[in-house]
Parts: sequence; structure tokens; C-alpha cells
Amino acid sequence: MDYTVSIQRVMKESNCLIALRDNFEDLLAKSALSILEKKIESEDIELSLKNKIFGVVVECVQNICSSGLRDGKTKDSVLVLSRMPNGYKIDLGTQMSADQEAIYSDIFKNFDTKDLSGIKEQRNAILASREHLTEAERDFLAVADIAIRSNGEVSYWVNESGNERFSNIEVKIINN
Amino acid sequence: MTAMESTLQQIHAIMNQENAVLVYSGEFNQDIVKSMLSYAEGKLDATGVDDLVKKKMFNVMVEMLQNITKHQFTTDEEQVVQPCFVLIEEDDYFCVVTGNPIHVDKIDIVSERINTVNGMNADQLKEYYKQARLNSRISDVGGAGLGFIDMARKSENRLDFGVYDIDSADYKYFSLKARINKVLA
Repeated sequence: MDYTVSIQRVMKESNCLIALRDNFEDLLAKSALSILEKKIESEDIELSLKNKIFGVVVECVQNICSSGLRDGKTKDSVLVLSRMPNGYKIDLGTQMSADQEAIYSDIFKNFDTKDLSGIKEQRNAILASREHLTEAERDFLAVADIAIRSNGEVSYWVNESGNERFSNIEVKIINN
Repeated sequence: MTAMESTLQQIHAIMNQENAVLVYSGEFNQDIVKSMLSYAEGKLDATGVDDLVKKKMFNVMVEMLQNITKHQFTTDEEQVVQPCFVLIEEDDYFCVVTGNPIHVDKIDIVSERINTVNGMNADQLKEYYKQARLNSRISDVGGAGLGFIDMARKSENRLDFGVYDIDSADYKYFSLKARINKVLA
């Protein structure tokens, strides 16, 4: 059980407030959001900042963690909420299918060519013109919402370890 | 590799290795405790375990979270180390794990109390609990080990514990694990 010492050390050194690992499906997503909401509520910060953080967390849990390779038993998504000197950070790690990984790579490549207003325009265009969204469009909307809430402070990369690939999304909510 | 990338990977690696679904480290207050219980409730509902298992799990969690709340800070308030709470889900059982600093003077008595309850069967624990209740003084921090007896009774399993060095002359890190079977015998 010496991992408890390691966990508290890693979390303290990195100012991590809480870490959850699961498949975040349905019922569990609600519980996860509830615990994250309570943790955010207990922070001594403005309500608008709390709402921003929680909005991003909701997008992460509902649209990213619970998608991809889910079989109801696999617990392959991790969400870590951390405090930074000038705000908060949400780190998300999840396993994605190769198709979804490609969609996310394309979304972030697309983001690199746009400013926030360009992302908003594309989001609004998708919302206005589509009755049935494709998977790529749904993913775009989730990430666009995160980008807008975080003022563009969102990044994506993939870690490879042996045969496993782990997609990482880092979102910073800066307290202006 | 960025520092945060490394942190996420470290936390993920530990959680994966231990099958942990929830890790919390930091200040424990009533709201946090309530939300953890609520998370556990969601977890148990999703797993579809028996109501009696839920009740046992809740009792054990409450007892362990109360312990952390009581013993979360070192006396010098420096908080060199933080308490932590870990919820583990295996195929057949859940584990509730807590960690908190413990003064070196208390290690022997705590270890002795846990070893004593671990050496008892259900009937002996019941009798020991009655006696401990009669003899305990409510004002004692840590009481007469009632919490450990209760945890052992409710979990119906041995309590595991470990004491680890944290580079302090006065304090060590005390970890406690209770296991609750998903299907009762």
C-alpha cells in the first residue's frame, strides 16, 4: 500500500485536486460530475470561473471520456483536476479508436489554422446546418466548446506505450 | 514530455496498477466526504450489487473517512504530507483505502488494535465491540479502537495496513485498507 504515499506526493507536488479513472458511462458520469462539482464549489474563486471549469469538465466527461472503446467494464479514462498559480487545469487521458484518434488529430490541426472566432463560426455553421451530426462533427462540437470556454487553451497529444495508445487533452482555465 | 504529462501518466499508472477508480488527496471536509459517498453510491448502483453490500460499503467508507478527517493534519500544521482516499474496484470486491500521517508515538497502539481485530472471528468481534463500547471514552481521539472493530465487522475481511517513511522524525504515513466483497458469503 505504499502507493498511497506516492499518490499523495504526486498529487501534492502537482497541485492535483482530484483524479477519477473509469469509463464514465451514464450513471457513473453523473456521480463523477457531482464529486467534481463539489470540489470546484469548495474552491475560493469567483462563480464565473467555477462555471467555466465545470463546463469544461462536463464536456470532457460526457463527450470525450465516455466515447471510444467502451465495453462497460473497461476503466480507461482518467480525469485530473489541478490548481495552477493563475487558474486551473483539466487533464484528460483516454483510449480512443484509431478512427476517433484521427478525428481528434484533424480537429486540432484545424484549430491551429483558426482563431477563436473562426472556431465559433465553424461550430455555429455545424449547429445550423445539420439535423443529424456525424461522429466527427459531434467531436468537433465538444472540443470547440472546450476551446471557447478555455479561451483556446486546449492541447492534444497521443502517448504510445507498447501496444497501447493514450490520447491526452490538456485544458487550462486561466483566471484573468 | 511536459511536467503535467508526466503527472497524468504517473497518476494513471498507479490507478491502473491498483485498479483505483477514485483518488483524492487534500483537505477532507464534510462536503468532500458527502460527495465521495455519493460517488460511491453511483458506483455501487452501476455495479448492481446487493443493498446489504451497499450498506456495508457505506459504513466502512464513513468510518474510514471520519478517521481521515480526525487525523488529517500533522500538529505543526505544515501539511508536509496530505491524507488520501482511494477507491478500488476489482471483479469480486471493492477496497476502500486511506492514508494519513500518524505520529510515531501512536503507531504501536494502532498496529496492536488492528492486529487484535484481525485475529478475531465474527462472534469474538461482536463481543469485543460491546466491551469496547462500554469501556470507551467518547472524548478520546482515536477512541478505544471502536472504528477498527466496526470496519472489521462490516467488511467481514481482515484489515490491511502499512506504515511508511515520509522523511519526518515525528510522523510516518499510515495506510489502511478494507475489502468488501461484492457477493456476500
